[in-house]
Amino acid sequence: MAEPADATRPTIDDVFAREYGPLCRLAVSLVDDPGRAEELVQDCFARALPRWEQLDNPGGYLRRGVVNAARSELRKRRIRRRTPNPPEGFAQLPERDRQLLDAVARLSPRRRIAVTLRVLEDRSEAETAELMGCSLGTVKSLTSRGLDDLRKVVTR
Amino acid sequence: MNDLERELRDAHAARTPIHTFPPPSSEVVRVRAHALERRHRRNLAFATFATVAIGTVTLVGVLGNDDSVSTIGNAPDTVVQSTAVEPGPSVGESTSVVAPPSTTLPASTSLPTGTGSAPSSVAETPAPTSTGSEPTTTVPGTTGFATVPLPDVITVDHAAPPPLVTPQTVGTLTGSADTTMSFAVLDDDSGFVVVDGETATRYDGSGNTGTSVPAPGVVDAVVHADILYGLRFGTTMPPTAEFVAIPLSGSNAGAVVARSEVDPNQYLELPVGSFGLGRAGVVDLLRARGTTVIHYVDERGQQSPGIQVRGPDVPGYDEASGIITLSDGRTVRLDVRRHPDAADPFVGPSPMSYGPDGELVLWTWIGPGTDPSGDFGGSPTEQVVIRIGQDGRIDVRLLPIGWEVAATSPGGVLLQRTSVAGDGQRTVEMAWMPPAEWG
Repeated sequence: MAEPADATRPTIDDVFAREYGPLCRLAVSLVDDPGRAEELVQDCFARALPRWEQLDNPGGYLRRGVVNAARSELRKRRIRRRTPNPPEGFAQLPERDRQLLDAVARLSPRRRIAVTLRVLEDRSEAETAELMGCSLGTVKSLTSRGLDDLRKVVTR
Repeated sequence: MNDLERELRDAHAARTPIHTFPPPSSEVVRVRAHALERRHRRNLAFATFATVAIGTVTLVGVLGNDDSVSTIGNAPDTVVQSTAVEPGPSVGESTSVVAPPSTTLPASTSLPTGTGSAPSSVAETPAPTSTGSEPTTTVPGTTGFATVPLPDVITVDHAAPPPLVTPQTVGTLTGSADTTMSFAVLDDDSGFVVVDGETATRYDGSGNTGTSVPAPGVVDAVVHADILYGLRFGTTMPPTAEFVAIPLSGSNAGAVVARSEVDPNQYLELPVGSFGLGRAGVVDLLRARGTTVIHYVDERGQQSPGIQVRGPDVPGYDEASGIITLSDGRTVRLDVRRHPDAADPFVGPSPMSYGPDGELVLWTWIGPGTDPSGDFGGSPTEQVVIRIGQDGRIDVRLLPIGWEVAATSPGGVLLQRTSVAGDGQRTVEMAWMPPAEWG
């Protein structure tokens, strides 16, 4: 006999309504392209759907899925040797902000993800390590080197 | 928090309101999930169809001994038309043999290996023997094979690494580190080919040098029926790329007898094993999966009959989910638990390929990257080779430090270990992966 559904467990529709926007904003800060960001997020939900009942922490699973998907996306772009596109919404920003975000977009994929999660989104080292699937030391190192890279290219 | 960090955070905060993402109907999740499921089912159905087709053809072949069953006419999804071209100046064996400019394989070189137990000389080293005498791209004259139960999950864990394998060393190549070098295993068990950007040199299974033919610009290659199918890029703008067919022997050895243009952007920075032998021609296993990039041809450039493959042209492996689909439709999930500081290879992971006897062969790295804080974490380390037999038996082995898969085909799994000296001289040790020790 099938077990009754857990009434306290959020449904995928609840989590979709609540987390879709934040996950898209996380994705767009990593891949810049809002359309692509939405696709990545929707794919993450679609992959989570068949195993929804087995997920202990759906929100964490989805966030990590978005970071992994963004990493793959950045890796493909790098393999294709494409120059990073100017981040969307650039034109509406002050010159200084444009310069900073453009410099972040040109970091290597892992450094970019570390800087984005750790500095731009102000996530803790532990959470960043969890999302990136690496150690705390690696997060510290990637963030530090990413910021060093930025200091070299960002004029004051 | 310093000034730069504060400025970055402010810039990010300024951009955030620009992008608003009102959630669409959550129905979109179900539609996408349905699409993923359909794709998975299509792959499964194709695998099942291929198995049934092969079984049927084999049975007919056994009962009727009819030559017409020598090929299976399953057309791949997408086919790039290849064009036969007039062979260039005849390059006879007696005149076309060009000594490799920068690679030599001393016939009696003693080889240091990471394992300490490899044969001490080339002459003593056997060619891979896991396949018996039959060409492994053809269906054997039996009506099937027994299967063994599959586990739900194949776990490869850095914390509990699989047993170390001892490569069967065949020789050492030396040359300048500036030259590109790629490898292809001959699918008739007769050895391998080394392509160095200028020439393609054949070696037998024990590492003895054979003929060498021109292969200018070829950066990646596979070989079927003594024809090398190589990828090369043009030097003009806009960029171009093509697959060329170059016979390794016969009166047209070294001539380009057929070519097929491909998208150059598709094939930059390829990992090892990106192309395989499909039914009708060479297939892309990675970027445009299942696409035939060039048809098989004979030494005159005429399209030749296809070959039989025990399963779909493209082995069923979904990297995202880790699901491996055998040719009989059964599935098993691969769970790879890498070192926390594992590195991503710059060119991305290699796809699953076919090995001897219809084995599925996949390799990945589980060790820490050589530079965890650098781009992609430095170079990956500790390569593991996973082989799954047609009957479902599984063999997982860890390669000794520095060894990597160089190429694979139904003719065998070729390994290499590269080191570069301070003077820029590169040494490449070559070895065969020994036959699987099925667990």
